[in-house]
Parts: sequence; structure tokens; C-alpha cells
Amino acid sequence: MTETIIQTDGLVKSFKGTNVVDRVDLTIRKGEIYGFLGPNGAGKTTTIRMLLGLMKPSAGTISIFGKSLTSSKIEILRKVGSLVESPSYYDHLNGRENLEALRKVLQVPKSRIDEVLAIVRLTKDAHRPVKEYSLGMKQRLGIASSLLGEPELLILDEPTNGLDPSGIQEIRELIKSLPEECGITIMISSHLLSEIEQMATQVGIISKGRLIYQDSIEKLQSKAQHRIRLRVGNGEIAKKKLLPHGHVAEAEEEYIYVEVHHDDEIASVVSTLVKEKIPVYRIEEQRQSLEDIFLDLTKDEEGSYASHSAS
Amino acid sequence: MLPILQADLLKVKRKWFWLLVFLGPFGVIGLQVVNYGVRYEWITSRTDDQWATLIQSVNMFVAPALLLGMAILASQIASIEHKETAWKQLLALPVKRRDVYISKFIITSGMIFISALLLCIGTVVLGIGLGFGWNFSVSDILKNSFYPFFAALPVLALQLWMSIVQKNQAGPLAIGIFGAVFSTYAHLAPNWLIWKWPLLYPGKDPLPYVGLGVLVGAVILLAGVMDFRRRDVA
Repeated sequence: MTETIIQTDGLVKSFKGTNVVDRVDLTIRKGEIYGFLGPNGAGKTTTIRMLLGLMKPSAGTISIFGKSLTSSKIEILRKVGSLVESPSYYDHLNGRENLEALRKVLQVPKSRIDEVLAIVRLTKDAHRPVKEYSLGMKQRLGIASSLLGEPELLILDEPTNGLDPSGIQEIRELIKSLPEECGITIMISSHLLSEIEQMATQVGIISKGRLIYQDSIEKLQSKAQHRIRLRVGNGEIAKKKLLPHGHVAEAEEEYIYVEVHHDDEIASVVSTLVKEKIPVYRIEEQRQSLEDIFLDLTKDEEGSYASHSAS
Repeated sequence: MLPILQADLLKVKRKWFWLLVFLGPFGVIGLQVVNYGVRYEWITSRTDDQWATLIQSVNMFVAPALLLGMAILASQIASIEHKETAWKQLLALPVKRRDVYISKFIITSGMIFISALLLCIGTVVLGIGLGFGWNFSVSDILKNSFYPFFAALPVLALQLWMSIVQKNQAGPLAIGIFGAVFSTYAHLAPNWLIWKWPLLYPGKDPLPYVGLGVLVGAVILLAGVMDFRRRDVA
């Protein structure tokens, strides 16, 4: 069992009586790229702010590197690099001066500035005032800032927000390369699963403040349902004809949907339909994407909330 | 603490802080240049002690300039962090919030201190330029600058707290400017008003207000630190 880097227990943050973060138990282990997913307003940023000591939890505990955040905050933050939501910078200073202002506080050697500038490929633009930077460059400067203190844990909140596709690609490659090259653990939040899917090894999904899923990305993928859609002219008739043969189907206008786990099952469905003289025009596989699973998971949560409040 | 101060000094680059530090005393002395330029004969004919009269004339504008400078500097130094939401980046670094807050106070009070020093130099240069000779009291000139400085520290601590805890600087600046204007008419106000304190020199006994200024300034500063530590950073 590898070392646990972040562990939260029953983490709660409430604003004016509502729990924005509600009993969240995160577990992030060493070397993972942990994708922290959730729709906008689900509590991702609030959770991350608590992990960085920017906000105080209303209840629950946070331990990072096996130490309590409340009692060893400075010691922990020394080994953590972060980028929270929109990029933070001093726009009247140039790129290098921005890093220098942080370097003085972190007290790392001056050469480290050149190293991080090279990592995010801003060396050429380091002398320009940050107010002239594009959003992508500001975001890269933010990542450079987070890497400045040679962190063991990197917490990135929506690092690709507002970037164009090539910028997203660039940052994704950069993030993927970090654990291999430097052996650091990364927690990265996003509201786009497709984004996380390509980087993360572990996923946590948060919705309405509750952590509704936390496991490896493969486990999430295996949840994807395989359905076969058949165009049969009249769905209702086909459904009725199939039932006596032990095939459960859903009908929708001229389509039927069957859930199959084996190729033999579909062969049997088709031969039954042919025997019953029902025309089969088209057979296609419909694979649920991770995005659909994500939506389903978050929708379920909303449904159960509605029923809770109704009762 | 020292690294945070160094970082803060770097951040005030290109923000016109140092111009402001110079502009305050320059303005106060400039007004006296005009004053003496217009009615030199009349002012000098009414007194035997030319240096004492000069110091008293300068004193008239020290308090409002001081209070105005404090409000603007406090607001400016807080704005650096408010703009582009730099607080969250700064406070996620391994720093104590207390040190971050106190560093801002040290930087602003240090700048005002330099302004006060410039005012002393300006007074001497003006007096000599007006031909009052070299026979002046150094301690009177120093007192004229630094008594109001120490007596006004509570206002600086208050302005800094107001400017740091909210992003919108309209409120703190309005209060600061009002305080500066008010101080020129504050002779009749009760003595417990902190905006009146820098005005009390050259009253009969300014020292209680200097001591009180340092003491109350420290109390307000510590209260600000306590409040800043428990706040959530958005």
C-alpha cells in the first residue's frame, strides 16, 4: 500500500446554513494524478481552498503528508504547489519579477526561476509585463509559480479553464509528464470529464457538495453500459414478440434497445426477430461515454436530493 | 518576516509609491513657498523668531497631508494583492498570515517615515532659502515631522485594515479622505478622535498623543491581524 498524501475525514464547509461541501472523504495516494470532477458550483474550489488553508472547514479534518493541516500548516504548504481558479499575478511586474516575488518567500535558489520558466516555455517572454500576456501564458505562468518551490504535491484547480484547444493540449502534456519526471502527486480539478480522462489515474466526483464516486479511472470506464440498438420498423411489436423468448427489450418508436453481455445473445435476438418476420434494418452498438456516466451519476444525486427534500 | 518584506518591496515597483512618498512633503513645502512668496514682508515683519514661524506654518498642512498619504498608500498596497486575486496565491505559500499583514504595515509606515524625513529636509532647505540663517532648532523641526507621524499611526492601522479586508477601495478611500479634510477643522472635536491626534502638536503637551498614537496604533494593528487570520480567502 502506497503512502497516503491527502486524507480528509467528514470535511464540511457551510455558508449561511447550506453545506457547500458536505462530509467529503478524499483519499489521494502518492504518485497519483487525481482527477477531481464535478459540475460548476459542486464544491470543488471550496474543497481545494480548504486543502490549502485558505478557508477553514466548518467540520472535519484534513491531513496532508500524514500531518494535520491545522497544526502543521506552514510545514505542509512548503511542499505544496498550487494554482487556484483564475490565475493570480501582479500585472505591473514582468514574468520573471512575478516569480521572483514568490521566490523570495519560498527561499529557493534563483536558478529555479529559469528552470520553471523553461518547463512552461516562457523563457523568451519572461521580461514582458504580465498584463501583455495572453490567458494561456498567464495560466502557464501560474503553473510555473506552482512548481517554483519544488513541490511534492501539486494542487491545480481548473488549470485549463479558458484555454484554446492547443493550450489545453500543451498543459495536459505538461501535467502528464510531471509525475514521471519529478515523482510528484497531482490533484487536478475540472468540470470536464474528457479533460480528466486523458490525464488522471484516479477520479473523485463531487456533486452538490457530496463525493459521489472515488476510484480508479478504469473502474469508472467499466461502468459504461453496452447497449445494442436495432431499427425494426415497429418497436412495440418487436418488444412483445421478443419477450416470450426471454429477451427483455425497450421500445422507442421504430427502435428497440437490448442490453447484452455476450455476442450469442444478440445473435439469438436477431434470429428470433427474423423468425417472427420482423424486419431488421440496422444493428448498432451504443456505448455509453464516460461523459454520460458522469452526467448519470450527477443526475442521480440531484434526483435523490429532490426526493429527500420532498419527504 | 524579512523575505516577505523583500517580496513586498519588489511588488511596489512601478506603482508610483515612491513618487507619492516624495509628493507629500514636496506639496507641504510647496504651499509654504507660495505662502512666503506672496506675503514675505508681512509674515517676516510680524515675528522675531523666523524659524519658529516657518515651522508653525509648515505644521498647518502636515496632518492632512499625512492622513491623506496614509489612506492612499494603505489602499494601494492592498490593491496590489486584490487585483488579479493574488491573495489566494500569496496565502497558499508557506507564510504566516500575521507576517503578511504586518509586512504591509511596515512597508507603508516606513514610506510615511521617509516622507516625514523629507519634510524635515524640505523645511531646512526652505528656511535657508528664505534667508533665515543656520541658527535653527533641529529638534523642533524633527518634532514637527515625527510627532504627527507617531500620533497618526492609529489611522494608518485602521486604513490598512479597511483596505485589506475588502476588495472595493471606495469605502476606505472615502473615509481616509474625509478624515484628512476633517483633521484641518478638528480643533473643536473631542480629544479621543484619532484623526485629531496628529494635530495636537504644537499644542501645549504633545507627548501623550505621541505615546498614545504608538500604543493605540499597535492595538489596532494587532486587532487587524487577528481578524485577518480568521478570514476565509475567496
